[in-house]
Amino acid sequence: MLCLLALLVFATLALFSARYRPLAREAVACVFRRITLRKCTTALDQRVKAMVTGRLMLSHPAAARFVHRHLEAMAWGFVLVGIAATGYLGYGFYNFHRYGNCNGPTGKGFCIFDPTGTYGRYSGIVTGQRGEKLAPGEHGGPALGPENARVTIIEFGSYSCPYTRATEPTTRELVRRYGNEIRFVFRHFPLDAVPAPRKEAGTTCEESSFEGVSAEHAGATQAAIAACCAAAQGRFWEYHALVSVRPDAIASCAGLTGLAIQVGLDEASFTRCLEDPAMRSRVQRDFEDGVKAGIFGTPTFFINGSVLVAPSAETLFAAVDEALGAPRP
Amino acid sequence: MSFDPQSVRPDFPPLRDGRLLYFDNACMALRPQAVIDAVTAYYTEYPACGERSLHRLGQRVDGEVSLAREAARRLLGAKRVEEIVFTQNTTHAINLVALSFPFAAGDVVVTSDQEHNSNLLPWQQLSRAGVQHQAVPFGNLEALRAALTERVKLVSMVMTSNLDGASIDAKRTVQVAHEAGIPVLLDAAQAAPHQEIDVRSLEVDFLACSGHKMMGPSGTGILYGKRQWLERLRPTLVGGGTVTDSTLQAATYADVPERFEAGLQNYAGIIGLRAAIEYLERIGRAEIQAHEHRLTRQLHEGLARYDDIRIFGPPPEGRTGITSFAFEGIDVHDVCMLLDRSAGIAVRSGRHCVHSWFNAHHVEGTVRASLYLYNTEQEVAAFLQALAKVHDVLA
Repeated sequence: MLCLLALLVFATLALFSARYRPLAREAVACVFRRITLRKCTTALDQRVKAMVTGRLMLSHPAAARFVHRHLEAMAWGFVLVGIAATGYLGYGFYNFHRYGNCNGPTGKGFCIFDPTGTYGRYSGIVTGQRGEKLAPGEHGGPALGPENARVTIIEFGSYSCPYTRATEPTTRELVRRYGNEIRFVFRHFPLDAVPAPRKEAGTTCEESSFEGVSAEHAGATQAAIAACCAAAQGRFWEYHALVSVRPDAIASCAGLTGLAIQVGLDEASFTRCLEDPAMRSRVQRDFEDGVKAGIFGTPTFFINGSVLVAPSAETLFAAVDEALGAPRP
Repeated sequence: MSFDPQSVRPDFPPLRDGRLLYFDNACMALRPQAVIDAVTAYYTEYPACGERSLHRLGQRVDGEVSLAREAARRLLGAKRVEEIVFTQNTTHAINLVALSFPFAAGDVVVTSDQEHNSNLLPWQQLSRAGVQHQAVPFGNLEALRAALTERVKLVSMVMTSNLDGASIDAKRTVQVAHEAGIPVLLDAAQAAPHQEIDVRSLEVDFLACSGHKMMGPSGTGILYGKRQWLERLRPTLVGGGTVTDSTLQAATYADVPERFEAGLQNYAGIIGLRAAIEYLERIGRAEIQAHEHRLTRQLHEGLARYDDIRIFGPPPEGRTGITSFAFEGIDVHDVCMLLDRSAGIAVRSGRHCVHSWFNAHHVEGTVRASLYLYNTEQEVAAFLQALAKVHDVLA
């Protein structure tokens, strides 16, 4: 097994320097002999062992003794871990290809493949949800498209989440492209509510965030309530589009009110609405539905019940095409 | 007053930072700055051909090579410089004799049973020409005497074994062979760097040694041969420099030693070898030998504390600075590599090119610590300390 590990290392190094090619050849010969159930005659495994043990001897003689005696077994462990890691890596690539992120549709874990440097920012969300996941319904969320459309797409998003905001043009294009074939619903999953709230939030706009909020997502609940208030005046989608490009505004109630004025909402009604417990309850219900659905990142899309987490536009459209059962040319 | 190794250590660049503990001198000795300077001077000041070019650079090369040959003559106590042939190393020198000696089918060559491959394989190869090889126990003069039949045409013996530092009685060996009218070749690779050698006193017919084991450059060696014997050898590696004239049909060979030095020579190495010999002469090989004996005794006293050790060869008094040992149940390569990795100590492990002896005695290999003039008592103590730690890990 030491030879196999050495082969992986030296074969990689040999790509860059001829110095390592004899070692790589030795490793190949050693691996071949071991595969054919013969003893390695190159002593490469011995050299690797000596290299490790010799360094350890300087600081931890007892550990050196242990390693020298059990390095072969440890190497087996490393190889098995390596095989498992490779399997998980392949699974991650599959998920990335299939769902647009390497964690899979409903799985938990962390994404190690992050080519654009954006997915990692939405990883590791822990809602505390245990038990069976429940597919969410519309529950009165703002919607576009007929109720009897063949495909219903429910998005859970947070205005504090850059990727939710970045997806907004995609969802607009989704609605434009598929028209009455789909029904698109937006529900709130404000990330300042993660982890699950430990106390009742305040009743004023300024107190509306839950306890334990990371600075990154501060204001997410306020913004969600503000969007609900815009919906109450029939301007949700305009407000939704605007807040998606003005993340600076969600940091304060004044900012949110400024956006409301910009989309033509009645300022007085909007300001009152921001402190309306019913609006807070609405956001709270959305959030709790999201938790029950096992959401671990935003935006999460439910397409006739199938889940996509932070998909690319192409993945999202492909999933809708699939749900419609008629792939488009 | 005995020789103080501290006085020479600054001359050796690899030792200057004090991190290297070099106990692999039986394989390759370190070079003093004087040798490095001599080699560098050739390449920087007169990097030309010898024995061919009449310009100033060529003449200087000729002069330096002559001085080197004279130094080699002094080193071995030869009578004439014509008896000194420059070779690449001991192996080359022995092969030169093996391929050039006027053997006939049915002849026999006798060696000991503890020969380096370089003094074994050349004779085994001669079996293709019908020449047989016979081995007698190392250092056993009676066995040698008994083996010397009329068919024996050459005795070729290692003078000091690179396996365990044991030496034969070279003078008596030559006498025994000469009593039977048989010439003798001595492999002095491990002897010449460590002890005074006088080929006239030994009356030996051929003697081979290497430059790199006596602080000279790599790729240098010396073959000493009595003039009458060199003249009887048939040049086998021929070409430029080995003839005085040639036609399309034949050639007139040069006198000895040039007829054995084919092609452009390793001038930088030969010139550096002279510097090494002169360095040895300044210190004195008798002083070096006494110093190595002191260190070897200290080393053996330290090794004697192990119950599971086997030390190969004679007691310290009967050997040079070479000590071979092995621990029961511990791989010798592991010991070697851990000494290196944990304490920066360079020793050799394995069969030391004496596979035939290890196979015959069913021994896997040994750790070989070989000392030289620049090694110190402090280094031996540090070696023993590091060895104890390695033993603790591996035992």
